[in-house]
Amino acid sequence: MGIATLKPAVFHILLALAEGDSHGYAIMQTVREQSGGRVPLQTGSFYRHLSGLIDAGLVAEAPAPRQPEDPRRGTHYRLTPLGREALERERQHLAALVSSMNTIRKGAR
Amino acid sequence: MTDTQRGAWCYRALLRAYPPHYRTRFADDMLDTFLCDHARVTQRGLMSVMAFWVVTVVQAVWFGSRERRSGGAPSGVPTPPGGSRFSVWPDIRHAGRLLARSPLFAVTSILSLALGLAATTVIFTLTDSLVMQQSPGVREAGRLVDIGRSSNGSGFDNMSYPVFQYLRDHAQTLESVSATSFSPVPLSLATDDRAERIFGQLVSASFFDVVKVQPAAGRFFRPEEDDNPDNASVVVLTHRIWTERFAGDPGIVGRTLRLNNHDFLVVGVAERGFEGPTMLGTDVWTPVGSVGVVRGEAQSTLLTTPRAVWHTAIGRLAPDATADQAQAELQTLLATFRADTPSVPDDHGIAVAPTGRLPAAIRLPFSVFFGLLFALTGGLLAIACSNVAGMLLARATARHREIATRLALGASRRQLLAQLMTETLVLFVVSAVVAVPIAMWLAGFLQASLPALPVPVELDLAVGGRALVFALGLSLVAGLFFGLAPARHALRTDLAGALHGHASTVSRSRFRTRHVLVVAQVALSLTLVVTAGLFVRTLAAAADISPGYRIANVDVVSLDTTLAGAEGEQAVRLIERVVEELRTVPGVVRVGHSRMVPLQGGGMGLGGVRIPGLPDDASDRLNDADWDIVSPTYFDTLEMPVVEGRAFDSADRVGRPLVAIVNETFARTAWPGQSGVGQRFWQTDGIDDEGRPLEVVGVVRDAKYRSISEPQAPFIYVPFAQQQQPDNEVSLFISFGGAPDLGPSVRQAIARVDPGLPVVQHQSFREATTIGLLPQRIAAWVAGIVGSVGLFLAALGLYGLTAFLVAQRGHEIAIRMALGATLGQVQGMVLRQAGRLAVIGGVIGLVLAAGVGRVVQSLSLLVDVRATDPMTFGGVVVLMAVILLLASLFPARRAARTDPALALRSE
Repeated sequence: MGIATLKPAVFHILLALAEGDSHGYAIMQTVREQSGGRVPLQTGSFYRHLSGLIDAGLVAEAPAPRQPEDPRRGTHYRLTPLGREALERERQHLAALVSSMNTIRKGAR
Repeated sequence: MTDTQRGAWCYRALLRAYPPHYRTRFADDMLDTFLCDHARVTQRGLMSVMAFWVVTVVQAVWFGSRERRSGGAPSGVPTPPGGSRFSVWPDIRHAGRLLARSPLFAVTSILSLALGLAATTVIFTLTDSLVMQQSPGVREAGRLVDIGRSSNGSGFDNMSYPVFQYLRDHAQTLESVSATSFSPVPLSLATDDRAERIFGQLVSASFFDVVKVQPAAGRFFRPEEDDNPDNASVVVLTHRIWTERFAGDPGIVGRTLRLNNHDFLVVGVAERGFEGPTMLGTDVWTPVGSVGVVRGEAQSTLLTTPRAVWHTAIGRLAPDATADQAQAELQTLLATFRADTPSVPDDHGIAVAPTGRLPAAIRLPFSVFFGLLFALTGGLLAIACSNVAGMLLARATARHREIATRLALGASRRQLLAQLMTETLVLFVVSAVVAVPIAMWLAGFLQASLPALPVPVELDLAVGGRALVFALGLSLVAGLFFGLAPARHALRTDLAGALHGHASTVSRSRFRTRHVLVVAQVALSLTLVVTAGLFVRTLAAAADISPGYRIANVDVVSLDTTLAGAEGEQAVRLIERVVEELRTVPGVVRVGHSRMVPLQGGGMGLGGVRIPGLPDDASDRLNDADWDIVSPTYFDTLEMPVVEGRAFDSADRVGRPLVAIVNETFARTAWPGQSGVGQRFWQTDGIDDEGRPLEVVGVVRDAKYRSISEPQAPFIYVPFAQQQQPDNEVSLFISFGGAPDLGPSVRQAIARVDPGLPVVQHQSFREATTIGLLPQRIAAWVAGIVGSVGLFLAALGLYGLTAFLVAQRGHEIAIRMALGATLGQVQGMVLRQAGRLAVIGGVIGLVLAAGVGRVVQSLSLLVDVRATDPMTFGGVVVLMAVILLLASLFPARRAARTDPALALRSE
């Protein structure tokens, strides 16, 4: 994978799922909150990303725990091991970026 | 359908843009998330909803087409080659990309089209609910006809019961026919401790057969309950009042209701939803035999008097008959009847019209008014469309080289035409989608701004499925109509020239099309703005017109003495006591009362007027006079000057000579050149042709009665103490000093006199009279919005055109400037070209506006404003000139600032 970074929306979706299995609308809302609205997601674009992630094997459908307080019937999704790996790689990649930037700053000082 | 259901419906339709395999996987979930978002966005207001829908539609179309292309197609199903049912998706995708690339063009076009579509859709919804749809519950409504009386071959009015009976018994072209009162009649329903007002409709036994409605409980009326008042104390309830007022009481049939102080046996409940065949609703039905009780005339002769016209009829055509045949047959029957019964006037005929939600009696003026509103909103839509067409033409020119290249590379003209048309249609369809929430909001606003009406009206202005289909269909038709010319222009390309870069030589015809569009825009928007101006001036003038009485600081309190069980002399004394008590309320200056509240659009008749020796035309005019029943203090309270003679006084009672007061127009018409005071006329009621004599004791100044815009008409006032009407509605006028809230103290004062006499309504006189100007208000409102948006769009159109002309003539301008033309000369040249179009458009617009003005005037919608009001026309012309000048000035200045060297080098 190396340099290739995840798209912001994809990254945030994976991040939302890392917190636990969830259904479509909850993921979308988490992404909106996490990104402070900087990642604009609507139903159409969200499911486009989601279907891409499913096809790539990063996300899979999860057996839906039927919660009495939640009337929505949406399918639940979970992160696959591959998805966790991708997220972890992204974390390492970002960490590497940050640390190299810190090095530059120190050098400049 | 609720908003959410509607949204779900739309979104489900949108999801069809996705390929089936994607839909099976995600459609349900997507609908869920969509609905959650929709609910969230709805709370944030209209703009958010609109933006939300735009994004949703664009994403569905865009991503849907990508999914289709990315070939997630299930294996084993070969993707069909070009020309398959999905071949438009690449075009749509391409169209979407182009629109996204020029967002300003896209947003302007979509918004302006959406506004035009939304306005037209709202008017459609209004017309649809009143004209095209049938009332709920009515079956095979297409076979129903309204039957009424025509006068001298035209009009639609009430008929008499004996005539109806004769027609009912003899007509072959009608399967069944029923008498029915035109509008619902107020009734008092007594309960244990109080009286409340409900509305009832008088019908004959066959009514429910005619409309083919079933009882939800019990039975409907029987023929013997029609003609004989003794059998007629039965009532059928609407399903609504049964469930709402009587809590769906299963034992309601067989119970007794006290209506107008008479016991009525509940015999049945009509099926759910049915409240009559017209927009005028009701709470209960009673048989025509009960007319005496319903109208409070114990000794009513309405059922037996051939001259007493008080109801219309509704009939169901026999299987093979047409409305024309029915009309012809009924007309013949009437002639036969008249031969035996000479008291039926000769000029009476039979009018037959298809039944609709608008009662036939008021259908014509309403239809013309709706037509006017359609013309206004359609005008706006046409402006928006021609604006978009102009922009498309400009883009066609700009894309000259692209199109030439594609043609050269082997694209067929048909393919390119399909693609260009797809681009246009995508634009129009997206606009239709954006228009829907705007239309919903506008319709809601319109419904909320309707004043309280005196009769129950069922008017559902929800933008429903039919309106959506209308909006979409209209946008497609408009898209085809306005998109075809630009697309064809784009394809009419000189290949070699375009590819070699000689793009500056644009075909003359393309110019001409754009010119025509701009001229049309200017003309239409001028028409709209002038129309708006005429209505605004009307409202202003109406506010200035003195109606002839005091409106400020007067409250109107409606009472109905029958609700307290008082009739005749009792009622007179009751009201006198109420008036005396009200005078003691602090702040109250004067109290008077009448039967009618003026300026509500209606009038009352108390019979004909006979004056021996009067010429026919004057006699007819006086026969049409409106009447009112007033108290001695009425004129004083409303500050209406008595110019001759005296006002009524407490001595004008039953047993004393009958007196009347007439207005100046009446006196002038009846006794030209003489004083009216001391004259006599005869009040006839059609039963005995002599009538009874009334002595004129006073003449009052002319005033406005039905509407502020009416011409002066004769009017008769008679004293309450002498001419009581059985229903005993009384409107108290209370003038007060300052502006106290009289509500509670008035109520208390009335309760002190009789706790069983409820206040039916209490409102300010000003509020009560707003209904008279309702059509003008609606028209001013629609024309105002439509006119200002139209003006803005026309300015935009001219701006676009001038900018385009400047861009096209850049080469020429550069040469001129290189040859020494000054800035001013170049500016002037460009402005002259734009100005010529504006002037042509303006002149056409003025002619159109004068035409619209005439139509509006002929509908008597103008008050004290001429159809060609110079103020309005002049003002609008100046306004248009300034705006259009500004719109073309900017591009002209830009042209003049071009660096000639740059422009020449770029060629």
